Amino acid sequence: MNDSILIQGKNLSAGYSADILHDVAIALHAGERLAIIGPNGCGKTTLLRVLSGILPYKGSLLQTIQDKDSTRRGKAVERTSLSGREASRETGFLAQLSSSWFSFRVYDTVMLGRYNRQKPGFFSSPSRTDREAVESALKSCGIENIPDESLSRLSGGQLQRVFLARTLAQDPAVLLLDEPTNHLDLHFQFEFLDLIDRWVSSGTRGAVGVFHDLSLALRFADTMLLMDEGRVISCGSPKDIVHGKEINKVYKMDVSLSVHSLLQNW
Amino acid sequence: MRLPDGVSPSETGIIWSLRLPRVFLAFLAGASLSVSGAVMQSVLKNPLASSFTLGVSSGASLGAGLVILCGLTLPFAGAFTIPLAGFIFSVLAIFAVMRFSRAIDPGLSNNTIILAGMILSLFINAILTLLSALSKEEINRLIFWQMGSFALKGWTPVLILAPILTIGIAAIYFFSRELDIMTFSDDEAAAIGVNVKRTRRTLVLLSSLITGCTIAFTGVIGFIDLAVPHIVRRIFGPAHRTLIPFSALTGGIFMVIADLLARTIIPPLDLPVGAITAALGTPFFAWVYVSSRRNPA
Repeated sequence: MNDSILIQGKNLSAGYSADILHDVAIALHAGERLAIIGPNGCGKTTLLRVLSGILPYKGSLLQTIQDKDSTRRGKAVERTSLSGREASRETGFLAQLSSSWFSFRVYDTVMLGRYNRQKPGFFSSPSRTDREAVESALKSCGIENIPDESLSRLSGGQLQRVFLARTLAQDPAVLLLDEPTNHLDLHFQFEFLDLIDRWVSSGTRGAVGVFHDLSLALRFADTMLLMDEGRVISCGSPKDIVHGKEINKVYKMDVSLSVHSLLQNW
Repeated sequence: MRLPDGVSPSETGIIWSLRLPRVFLAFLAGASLSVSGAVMQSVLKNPLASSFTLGVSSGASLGAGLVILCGLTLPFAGAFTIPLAGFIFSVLAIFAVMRFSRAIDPGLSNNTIILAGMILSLFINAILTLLSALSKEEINRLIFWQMGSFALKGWTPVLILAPILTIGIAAIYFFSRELDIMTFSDDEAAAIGVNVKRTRRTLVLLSSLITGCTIAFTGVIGFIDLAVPHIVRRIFGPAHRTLIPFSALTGGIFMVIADLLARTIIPPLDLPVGAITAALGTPFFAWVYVSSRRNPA
């Protein structure tokens, strides 16, 4: 992890009809994997949607531009000043559950992630770079052998891999993952976390993940952020957070004791 | 140019001034209704979406209905008063639906738009029923207009519709990639880089424009906009680069055939073409509904 900062949010408030997030501060550095944890309804997903530009916010959210083609590269700019295309080169969002009513092929679905690199127009077609990015994303996610399969024929776990591949093909600087391992089988959960490790290790990228499974969060994270009722309760090294006092208060139980006794069943 | 023997001038007259414009008009109407159906379904991620469920057709009916029932004729529009009113009211209807949706749901979610469209349709149909109950003399004209027809319209609607629909469909085709992306969730589309609200508004307006103009000239013709895109998706896949042009082509051909059947199935009766498309379309509607319930997304 180096010191260059990718995302810096301060005094962030956001929500739907009423605010759900209150005065949140968050920072993500290059090479860092940040896990957001907290009980149901604490605002984890809302925070992730703010970071991905889907939800409007109050306060300040600075994004350091990493896109090689941008004239503002290296500058920290307010998130709202980015166009959709610019923003999608900085952050990619993997939703918790996704689907389509219409049965696209796996390859075509992943190619949609290249939208932010393609010129608009009637006759523009995917470039060689686009095709290479798609093929490498398919391979990373272990779905290179089913490019022609229709989405409607895939299992939940396979679908999740397709959407991960689409987000990787998008090639953003920061991956925003909403409970990414939810639908994956055990084997691919581990493979997935290895994949994110390799992806982040390039040094100019980062990842933010929302997790329910604290063991997976520990495996994923360099830094952990504990939330409750729309506020950041504590943020720091994962070990300190899971063994701290606050986590037991937030989850209303002795977290580490319970998880340990659960694993005793093995 | 000399005609072959045995072809009388009256026959050429029938072909040139009755049959040919009728075929062209049917093709244009089928193409535009099908494309607008494809767009509405994709943008709203709902296989049952169409200009009917969004209130566009009801809006056009109300416009035409008011003109017919009040016996209005605008001085500058003349014979075009009904089409013009139909078009204006269909655009007003979609604006009302979008406005109402935004007021109750600033995120402009798809279910809200469809719900608002359905409510507006029901409301307008109620008004129309009341209006026609009040004026018994004009009720036949209104009913006939609502059934839709390509007969006796001449070349003028063809010449007006052709450029509008070509430009409208080309503009929609320009958004093929955005349409592909928008069939997934709004969150994902935004994260991939599409300006969801603006693109959706543009596309809904474009497809209302082409349907509104079409309905205004031909009357309400149902089910083709719902059925054709589904058939084309099954055959050519859901990517809009093929879906849009093939919907236009398939819809156009389907409408020409439906109109041919309407004219010839019980000679010399000229059945309303809307009845033919609906008779073919209703079982299809049920099939789409049942099969989409069976494979929930």
